[in-house]
Amino acid sequence: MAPTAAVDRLRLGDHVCWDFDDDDARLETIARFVEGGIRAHHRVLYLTETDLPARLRTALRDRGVPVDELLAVGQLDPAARIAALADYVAAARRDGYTGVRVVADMSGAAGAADAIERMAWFEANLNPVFTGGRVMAICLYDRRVFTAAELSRLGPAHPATARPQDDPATWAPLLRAVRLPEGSGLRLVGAADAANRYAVAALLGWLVGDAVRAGRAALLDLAGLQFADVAAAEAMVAAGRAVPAGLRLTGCRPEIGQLITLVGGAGMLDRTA
Amino acid sequence: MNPFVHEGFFYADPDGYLAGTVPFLESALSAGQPALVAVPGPNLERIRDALGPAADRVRFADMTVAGRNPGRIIPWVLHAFLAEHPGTHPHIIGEPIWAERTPQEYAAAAQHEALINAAFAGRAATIRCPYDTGRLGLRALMEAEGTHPVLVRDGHRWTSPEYAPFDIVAAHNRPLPSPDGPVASACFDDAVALADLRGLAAEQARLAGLPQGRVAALQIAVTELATNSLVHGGGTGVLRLWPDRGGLSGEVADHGRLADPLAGRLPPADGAPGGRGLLIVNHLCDLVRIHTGPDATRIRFHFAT
Repeated sequence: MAPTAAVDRLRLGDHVCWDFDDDDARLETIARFVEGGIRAHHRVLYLTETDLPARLRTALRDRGVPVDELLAVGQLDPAARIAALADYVAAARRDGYTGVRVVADMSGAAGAADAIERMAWFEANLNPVFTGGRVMAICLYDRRVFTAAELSRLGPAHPATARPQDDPATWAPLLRAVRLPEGSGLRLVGAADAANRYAVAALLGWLVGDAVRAGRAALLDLAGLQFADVAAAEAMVAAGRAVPAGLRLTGCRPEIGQLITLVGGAGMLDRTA
Repeated sequence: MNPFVHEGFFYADPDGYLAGTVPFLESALSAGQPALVAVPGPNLERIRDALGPAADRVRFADMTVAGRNPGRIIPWVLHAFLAEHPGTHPHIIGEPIWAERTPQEYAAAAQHEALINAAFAGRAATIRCPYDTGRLGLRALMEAEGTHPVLVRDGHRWTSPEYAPFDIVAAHNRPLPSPDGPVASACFDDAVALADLRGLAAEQARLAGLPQGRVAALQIAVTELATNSLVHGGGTGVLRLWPDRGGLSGEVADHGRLADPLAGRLPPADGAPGGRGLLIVNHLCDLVRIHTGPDATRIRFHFAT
């Protein structure tokens, strides 16, 4: 059972590795995601090597989506690539859209020897853009194209992954990351483990860089973090050591606080939280 | 010459116990060296009383708590104490084996005793391990001669002719007994499944009556062991959980081999990140047992209520 219906629960800020092994489920997922975006007055960017595929146009028309009009005004925007996602999101906002949805068909990107490492790096380092809460993306990975070993590298570059076997009734993103409005800060909601390892590393890397550039302390709001594994706790402690003005952890659950203490980060815990 | 000294000390009664521990500690203190006593509660009180005011300069830990899981002792009791006192020669009384240990606890404790030698080779420290000849079984007493390069009894001190620590580690690397009731299980083959394993763990923990804080610890242990299976154990594994002795036992089995017997016993050198999963599992669990072979590893854990 593909978790197609779960796309309705995605929010601006989500960046999901969407694995599929079935073309009908893939089409249904994209159509549903695009339709939701049109209704929410998002600009919808469809990153694909081919032109907006004929089947998708038909599926959208069947849902009553005026595909040609939307293409004409640019709300539906098929493109092979864009220069910088952050600039694209800012331009959509200037054009009056309430957000951006991205459908990224990753199959065309497979092939070259270092393609997987490049993709994983690229995906991981896009994560900071999503923390502004103005863009959401589903990155489509075809299990018939990518091996399990490749997906085990690519999936964790996203905060969340949806798999064909996941239940649409219960699937929810594993992790959400939200930039705090003031200072250098990040709120993590959900869980951090091996399934989003590289995404968390990139997010912490962004936080460190932002705090260091601004010459201020970094803040990690963990009130919504229900689980962190040992490596995530270690990554937080390492991030704290990389910021001269320090990293403060707030709202930590007792068990996460204990873990952070055990890996040497006792000094970063906000005792008043 | 190896500055690390690991002594098996055989005692028969309380007087013998004090004769082999108190002067050892007093001479360490008079030499200005740090001293730690990690022994079961009643013996701890006995030493504390005998030391008198000097006890204030000795660190005490109840081994039935700090070392309830024998796999916890090297990293979280001994290494922690040595790391706190660089440039010294700490003297430690460490009693990890007592008569009430269950067979599985004993097996883990014997392996722990054997691994101390490799864990601290080259480090200046002396650890003396008391063995109660009146109450411990013959196997425990004989294996103490295999795990300690030096033996002490009635004031005599000699080199153990039976010293062969890795034989003791291997002797206790045995198939683990099968659970005798219903078992909840889940196979996993990717990291996304870790969240599902945590869900199963929480459900089984509540059925077994584990308190909330232990549920969280169980979820960490399950996640770390399964992550190790994904990364080092061939990429797939099985989690099993079952009620046991009023608490919860479980295991993660995979097709890898745990080649390093010191895995999970020492923090990575230089504070490098990574490789701390088993170390934390040892800290959180009340018992950890490992059976590993060329193409299969089973790590079993117990959480008491």
